[in-house]
Amino acid sequence: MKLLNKLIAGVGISTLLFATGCTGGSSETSSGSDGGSKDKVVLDYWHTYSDQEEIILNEKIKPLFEKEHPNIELKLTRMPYEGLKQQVVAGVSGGEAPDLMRMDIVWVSEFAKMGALQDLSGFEGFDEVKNSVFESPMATNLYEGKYYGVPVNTNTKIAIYNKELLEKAGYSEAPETMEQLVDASEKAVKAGAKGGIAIGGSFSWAFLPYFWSLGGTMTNEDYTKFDGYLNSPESIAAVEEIAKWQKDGLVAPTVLGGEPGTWDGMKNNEYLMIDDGPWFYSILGNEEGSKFKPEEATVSGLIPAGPGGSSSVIGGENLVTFAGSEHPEEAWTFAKWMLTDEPQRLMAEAGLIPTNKETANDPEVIQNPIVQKYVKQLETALPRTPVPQWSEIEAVINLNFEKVMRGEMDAKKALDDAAKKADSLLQQ
Amino acid sequence: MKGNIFAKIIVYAFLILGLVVFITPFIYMVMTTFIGDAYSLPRPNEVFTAVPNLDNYETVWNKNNFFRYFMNSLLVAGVATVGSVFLGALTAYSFVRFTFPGKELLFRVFLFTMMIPLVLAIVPQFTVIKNLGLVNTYWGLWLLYIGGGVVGSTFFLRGFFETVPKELEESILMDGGGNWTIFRRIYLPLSKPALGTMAIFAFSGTWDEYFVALTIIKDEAMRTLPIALMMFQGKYASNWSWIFAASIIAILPVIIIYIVFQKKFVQSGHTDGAVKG
Repeated sequence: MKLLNKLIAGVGISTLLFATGCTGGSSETSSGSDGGSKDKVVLDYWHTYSDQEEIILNEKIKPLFEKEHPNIELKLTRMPYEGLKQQVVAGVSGGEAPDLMRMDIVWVSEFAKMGALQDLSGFEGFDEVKNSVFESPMATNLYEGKYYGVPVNTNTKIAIYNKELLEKAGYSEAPETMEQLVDASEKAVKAGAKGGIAIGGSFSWAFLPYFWSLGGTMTNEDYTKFDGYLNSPESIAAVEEIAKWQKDGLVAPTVLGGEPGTWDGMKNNEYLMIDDGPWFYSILGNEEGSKFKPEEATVSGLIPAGPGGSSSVIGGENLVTFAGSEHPEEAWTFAKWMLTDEPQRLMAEAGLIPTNKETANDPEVIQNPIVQKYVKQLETALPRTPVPQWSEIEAVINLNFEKVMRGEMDAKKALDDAAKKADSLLQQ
Repeated sequence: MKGNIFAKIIVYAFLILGLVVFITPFIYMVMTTFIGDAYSLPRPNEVFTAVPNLDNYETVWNKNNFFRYFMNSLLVAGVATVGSVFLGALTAYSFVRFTFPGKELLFRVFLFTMMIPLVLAIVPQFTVIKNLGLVNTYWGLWLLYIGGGVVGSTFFLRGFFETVPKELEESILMDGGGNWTIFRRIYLPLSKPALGTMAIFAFSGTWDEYFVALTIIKDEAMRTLPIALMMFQGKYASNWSWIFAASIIAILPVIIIYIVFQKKFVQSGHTDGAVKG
């Protein structure tokens, strides 16, 4: 199913390239024609905020921005996730893309390569914005030396342990190293846990924190070469270590898509450790009528440190402007404004981690000790390789990782093969 | 006689087994809607001890303008159903009754368009709709739905129309009626089962349609039900009891339509004995 989706996405994108080639990129946006007086610019903004976040967006962010910028009106459209990429592709090739969009950080370079996005590096005040936000999330906007977006919120994953099982394993605090984690898992599994380490699946978002922390690397520093990095002795050792956990029965069935899921297993005291983002606490904490209280029933900690230190994976969203927008100046005004202290502070109310360094480090904004751990983890978290071909490269790596987990391929062979294929995809 | 009963038992056993297999997920889904919040799918013991209540249905109905989207969908799917079945019947009639150059070729082209996956066609289709100035209108949506639906119903109805005896038409011609009368008085009444089936296909097809609707309709207020349904799915976690409650509301019209038209399925074409010898 996943493969099918990838295939569809791939085909959709090639169709887009074909279509943009045919129309010569000509586009006439009709945004602004619907509603609003003549001298008022209407900015079409696509977002994917959740219910609670959308309330803040509608009731606080929008009025505040429009008050400060009376000549701009925001037209907010919430998009569903299902098929979102194809929606953007269709919108861009039909010249009906919005002015602005808040999109997943891993999409930006891909759309930048298509020529769908506006290069923001040259706009007034860009360098100030760039210096005010965290470096790693900012780097996800980079494509061929130019920035095609700005990070509007960020997140990462930390380690979450089931308190009861952790105590059974003889630990009162979260394991700090991989050796301790393995030791705790062995004891928890012996004590009857269904799984020790619940890696969420065989895809990069799920396994990269372990891969990196165990010393693995993806590419060289400027993201141009996988061979020699993805299949370096350290990377092979990292995957071999995870494969060994799997062989010893420490990894939960979730790594191969099995049941119960990570949250389910955590709630029912079946898995010792899962890794997840801040939403684990905000969503489950708000679950009505549930006996499970995430903050009381779990212990959290940084991803246990291995040879590669404690390294997690960066998630979050970037604000981008489309190349076909008729109002690039106004769109930039909004993007820039969204990264300033006040809106960042407002969105943090809904549990989004600010990208603005000053806001994120203000103890008033982040009083919750758990969120503080996320901010701490962000210091060493890494982005998934920000290259346009990432979704295809990821598919190759995921498949080989899964084969290793199933015992069908050994780690060296899998990574050699993935590195070779990834490098050839990178040439495209 | 004995063998007969034995065979019957086997047949019924299979039927009941089939019924259980098909209905269990549905019952599980209905039971899940009675649970308060379910961000991870609930386990069987939770599901089967749930107390039936309509809380989730109420929440869903009042959330995200669900009612509004429900009415939008009713309008979109209703017009598309009538349009594609009616136009499909007219087209099928012409393929059956008239001879014109390139008829079979045209029919093949019709069939060919059915085989193109939707996702491949969406960008060109969107470009056409945009050039017609129909983006963000139901007219654009109807054009695509009816245009796509006519092909299917033509294919389906042509086969059915060919079973209508030619002699029946001659009786109309004798009385001085034309093609329109033949179509209205002979073909339509005799094809009720086929039309009913086609109507269900067309309705459920457009009622469930998500991707084209989301592409063409840009205004949140004009969106259709499948889009509203997808809004309940979050990036990191989804409230399954809400999704299931919303899904059940969404499939109700299809079930009702099915019940209304299902009688037509079993009836034959009423042509038995219409023509002598």
